[in-house]
This record gives sequence, structure tokens and C-alpha cells, in this order.
Amino acid sequence: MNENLKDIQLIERILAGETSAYRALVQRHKDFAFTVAYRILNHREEAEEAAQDAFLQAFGALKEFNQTAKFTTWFYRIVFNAALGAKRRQKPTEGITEINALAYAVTDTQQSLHKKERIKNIQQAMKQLSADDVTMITLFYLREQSLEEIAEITGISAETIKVKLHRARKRLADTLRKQLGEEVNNLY
Amino acid sequence: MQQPNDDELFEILDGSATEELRQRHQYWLETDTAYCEYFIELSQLHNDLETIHLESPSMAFENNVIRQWASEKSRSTRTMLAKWVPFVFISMMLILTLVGVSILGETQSTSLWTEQLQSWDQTLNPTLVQQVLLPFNAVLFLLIAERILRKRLNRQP
Repeated sequence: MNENLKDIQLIERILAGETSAYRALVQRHKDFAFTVAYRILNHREEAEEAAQDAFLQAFGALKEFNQTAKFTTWFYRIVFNAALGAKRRQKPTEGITEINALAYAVTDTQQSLHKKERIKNIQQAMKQLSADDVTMITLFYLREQSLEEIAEITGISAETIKVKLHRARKRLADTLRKQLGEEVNNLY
Repeated sequence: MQQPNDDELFEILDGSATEELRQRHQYWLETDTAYCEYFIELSQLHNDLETIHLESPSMAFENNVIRQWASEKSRSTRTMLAKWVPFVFISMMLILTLVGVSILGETQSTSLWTEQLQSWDQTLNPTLVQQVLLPFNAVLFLLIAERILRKRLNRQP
């Protein structure tokens, strides 16, 4: 079944008063909501709070959701705004200190150690990018959102998103190169 | 032939490059080792990003959301009730007063119920009842209105 149709059916059940459908909707989108918030905030507890806040806001506004639209685009916009709001309230030093919480979910048995190491480096490098850059990369890669959908989520034009995405990836590549260079230097 | 820039390289990786760009890219791949190495680096990053999976929140996340939503819903229900209770109370008091005043004010009646009321009427002075009930309601109304206004004023920055 079409993923959006599943969401719409869950929303209809919620609006009909079926409380178990709330849980089902959370189960479907919690990982993405958390990942976006975590990438922006770099802090697990704050990311959980922001994701929870996004769900509560979405539940409260479900009656106003236009069911002909794509639920994820509408919901991810709420998540994005909740995370940015939390980022604005965040103290400057928070998040940077949290290095141990890397939950890079690569299937252990299939991926090589080398690949794991690369993914870990990417995630470290992403922590040094701006919230804007991280959001572009996260939305583009994690859920394969089209440029138009990312534009709707972030409230920026698709053309600008394309440019921002290119620049974000370029900055990520540069940061990664710099980071690896430092690691090599530290070996000698 | 112009070497593809970074934006164009990402277009190649995203699969949105034109035929002309692809040919240009192929030419540089075959002729320039540095370009080839740079493209492999970006390509590897692109592939790695595609394989990064979503992260998961704590096990309690789901329950926390549901619990918070339930408490928020009950809070909003309570707020709505609290908002309407004073008005319902005032309306009921007003209706009761009006009904009481109109029944007590009637002089001609034959029903048993009104006879009973008339017998009470003899013991109760209707003017006194009106004088007590109406000011009592007025005071109640003013107290509730004052409370609502104070809350609204406190909310203003």
C-alpha cells in the first residue's frame, strides 16, 4: 500500500476517535523525527524532546491537516520547526560535548569495518556543519525527499534548496577531508 | 573542454545531468587523474550518505509521547469546562430567578402546585425574595466576571 495512504488511514482512525492509531503513527515516524532533530541539535535528550513536541503539535493540528496533501511533508515541516526552535533556545556549548552517542545504524553483519569507520567519520563531520546544511543532507538522503518536498518543508524555493544541498555536500566533503587529514597527522 | 564544477558533479551523482555534461565528465575521467580521484571521493561520500540509516530514540519515546498527549488532552478538556462553567452557572441562576419571580408574581391560579406555592407565598414575602436573590446573583456574577478579567489581564505581557 502507498505509504501516504497508510498515514491518511491512520489519521482517519484518529479523527474517528481510535486512540490506538496515535501509537501507530508515532511508530511509523518516530525514527525520522528523532533523526532530523538529533542532526540539528546534536543532543539526544533535547532531540527527543523536540521530536515529542513535534508529535504533540501534529496531533493537536490533525483536524486542520489537508488529507489530499502528503502527510510526511506536513509533519516533517513541524519537526523541522520544532528542532530549529529548540536549537535557538540551546546554549552554545551544548551538543558539541556529546561525542559518545553515535548511533550509526549500519547493519553489523554485512558492512565492513572500513565502511563503519567512514560512516562514523561522516557523522562526526556532520556535527561540525550548520543546522541548515545538516537539514538539507538529512532530508535529501534519509527519506529520499524530492527537492520540491524539501522546499515545502523548509519554506525555501526548490532552486535555492538545490544550491544549498550542493554547498552542504561540498562543505561536508571538505570537513571530512580536513578531519581525516588531522587524524593522519596525529598518527605521526 | 571545460571541466565539470562541483555543482555539476553533484548533478551527475544525483542522476540529473544532461547528456552533454555526462560526455564532458567521461572525457575528464579518462584524461585527468586528479579529477578522477576527486570524483571517486565525492561519489563515495554520496554512496555512504545513502546508506546511513535513521537513528532511533529511546525505548520510552513512544510511551512518553502517548502519555504527554493524553495529559494534554485532559488538560484542554478541563480548561474548556472551566471556561464554560461560570456562564452555565450564571444562566441557570438567572433562569431560576426569572421562573421563581414569575410564579410568585402570579395572583390567579387554580392548580394544586400554584396553591402550594401560594401557601408558601403567604409565609414568604416575594419582594423580600426578589431583594435577596437578585443582589445575590449580581454579586456572584460580578465575582466571576472579575476573576475572568483578572486572568486575562495577568496573561497580557
